[in-house]
Amino acid sequence: MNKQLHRDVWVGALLFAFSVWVLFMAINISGQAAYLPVALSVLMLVCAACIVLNGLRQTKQAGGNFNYTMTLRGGKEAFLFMIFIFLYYFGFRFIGYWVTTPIFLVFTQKYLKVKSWITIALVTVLYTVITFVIFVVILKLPIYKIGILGPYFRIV
Amino acid sequence: MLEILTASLAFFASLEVLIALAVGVIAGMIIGIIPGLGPSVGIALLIPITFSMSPAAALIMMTAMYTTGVYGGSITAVLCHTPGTAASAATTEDGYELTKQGRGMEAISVVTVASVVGGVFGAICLILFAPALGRLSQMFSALEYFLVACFGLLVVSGLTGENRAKGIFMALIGLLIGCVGMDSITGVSRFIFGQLWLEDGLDSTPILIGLFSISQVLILVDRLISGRGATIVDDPAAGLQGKRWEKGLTKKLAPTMFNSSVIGAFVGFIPAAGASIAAWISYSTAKRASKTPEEFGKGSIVGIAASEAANNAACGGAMIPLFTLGIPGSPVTAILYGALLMHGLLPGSGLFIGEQAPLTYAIFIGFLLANILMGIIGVSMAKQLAKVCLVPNSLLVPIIVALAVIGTFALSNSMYEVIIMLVFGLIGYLMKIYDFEPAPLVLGVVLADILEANFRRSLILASTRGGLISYFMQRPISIIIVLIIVMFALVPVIMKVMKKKSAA
Repeated sequence: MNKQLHRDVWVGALLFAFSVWVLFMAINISGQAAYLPVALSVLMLVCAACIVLNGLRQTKQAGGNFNYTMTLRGGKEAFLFMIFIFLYYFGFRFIGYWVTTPIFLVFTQKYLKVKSWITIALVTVLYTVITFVIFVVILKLPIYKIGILGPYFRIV
Repeated sequence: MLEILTASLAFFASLEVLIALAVGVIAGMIIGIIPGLGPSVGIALLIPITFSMSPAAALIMMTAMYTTGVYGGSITAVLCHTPGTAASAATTEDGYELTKQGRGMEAISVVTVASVVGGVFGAICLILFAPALGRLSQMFSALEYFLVACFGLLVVSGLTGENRAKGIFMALIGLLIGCVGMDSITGVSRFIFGQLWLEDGLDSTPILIGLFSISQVLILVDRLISGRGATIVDDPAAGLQGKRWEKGLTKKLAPTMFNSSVIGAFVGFIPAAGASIAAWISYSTAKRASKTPEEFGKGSIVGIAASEAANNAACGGAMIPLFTLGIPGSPVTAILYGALLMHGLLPGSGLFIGEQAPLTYAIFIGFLLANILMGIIGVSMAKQLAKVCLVPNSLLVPIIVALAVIGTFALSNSMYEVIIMLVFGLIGYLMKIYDFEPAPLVLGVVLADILEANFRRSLILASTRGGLISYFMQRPISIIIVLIIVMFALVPVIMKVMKKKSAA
């Protein structure tokens, strides 16, 4: 049965549930500050219902044969890469930008099938040096405050 | 007037001023290209550097950086689907689509020419009409700001894509995101879940970078791994085949660029509106007026010209209330306001008469020249810049991610901004999978604060003047804006009816 419904039905249902949750939170805001969030969440409920109805209409029209250009299952590689990006974020947060970034650059280039180690090294070194000059030397960004190894890269 | 303009030209005999102009233009373009960094960061950094410079050189450098920073953000929007600032977001879809088709050079050229036209128009308004327009901008109050935001919201109807309910839902989510944090009128916290860092609300720039840049990176990874595209362009062999400027393009784009410049300068000079709203309104207006609206979002040159002319014209427009009334309508003009005071220039009518007038007009002429110089550099570098589309995605993707992370961190030296950017990157990718447009969400975030705070302020003002209707009737500018909104909403409907009648 699930496969026979257009995915907009499920997406709309999920957004409807989300809108109900938002409405519940908005009602609990005190005074005038609640007006806009309540109004928005009610309108969101209406839109979510329209998305469900539209999904049902598409289900009827297509007769169960749907051709999606992108799917969750097809995006496995992208989600895996997103995990790498989050790991990079945690590396930056807890270790430091100037240590984590070269590792991230080397790893992702290799993962994305760059064959030449010379290219990988060149891109990594050039990027790190240029951004260090721009963000640390010129812009004086306090990146050294982030991560346990951050203070080692504080410019004198 | 002519005497003052002649006297102001004397400032350009100084080598310091000319170097400041060139440095401002180039540095602005570089700052704009880096995601997250924009003219506000660039100008803030210039303040200590320009402290020892002459007022003319310092302020010409800063205003040059303002306009070229907005332009620089559009270059990455076109080439890498990474808008540098919210003002360039409207250019992203069409510009990137052209780049994918191997017409990156043409896209960059259109961006450049439209930016120059808009920028020059804004500068001319500044030079010729600043005092008069300044008085007009004084007539705007909370009610007018609210109505302008409503106009911006109406633009959503043109950006919703095929499924209108999904587009409107995204706009509502954007407005809801704008509600996060402390309410500016009552001080009540909303949707902060006990997190104090959310009290200040969510900045639109990390959301923008996440939705446009990170989500696109994920698509590029997907294409790369599955063997469907090693570069941004579908056919690398035809990557740079397009011309800088096709024959007949001037005739095709001139009306759009002029209309968008007028819209940009007008929206820009309304404090609190700004370049991003100007770009969206202009883009939507161009789409409504177009005979081929279906091309918008799929690589429309007219769409690019509309948003680019408007966002650069808005820069000149935004400087009108700043110089004439001392009203900074955006973070960039607020920093410029500080710079003016630091160099001994007190915004107001005093800047346009007496000894200070030539200096004021020299700054305006410098702003005009900066736009022209930006055009020369941009067009001559279009081919080189467009070569980005031939760089393998396997090299481009890690660099975009690392730059997006550091650029977002640089916004306010906060890791919270980075995590917001990444979360919205993931949301943006899911939105692409399920056919939700990111543009309405971005517009909602940008408009939320202006819309709500000004509506409630106008309610407070109206309560002392006999209620909202009576207050509204006392304000002719509000009535004009409402008429424009009604016209904007009704014109397509009337056109449709007329078309049907003529067909019958």
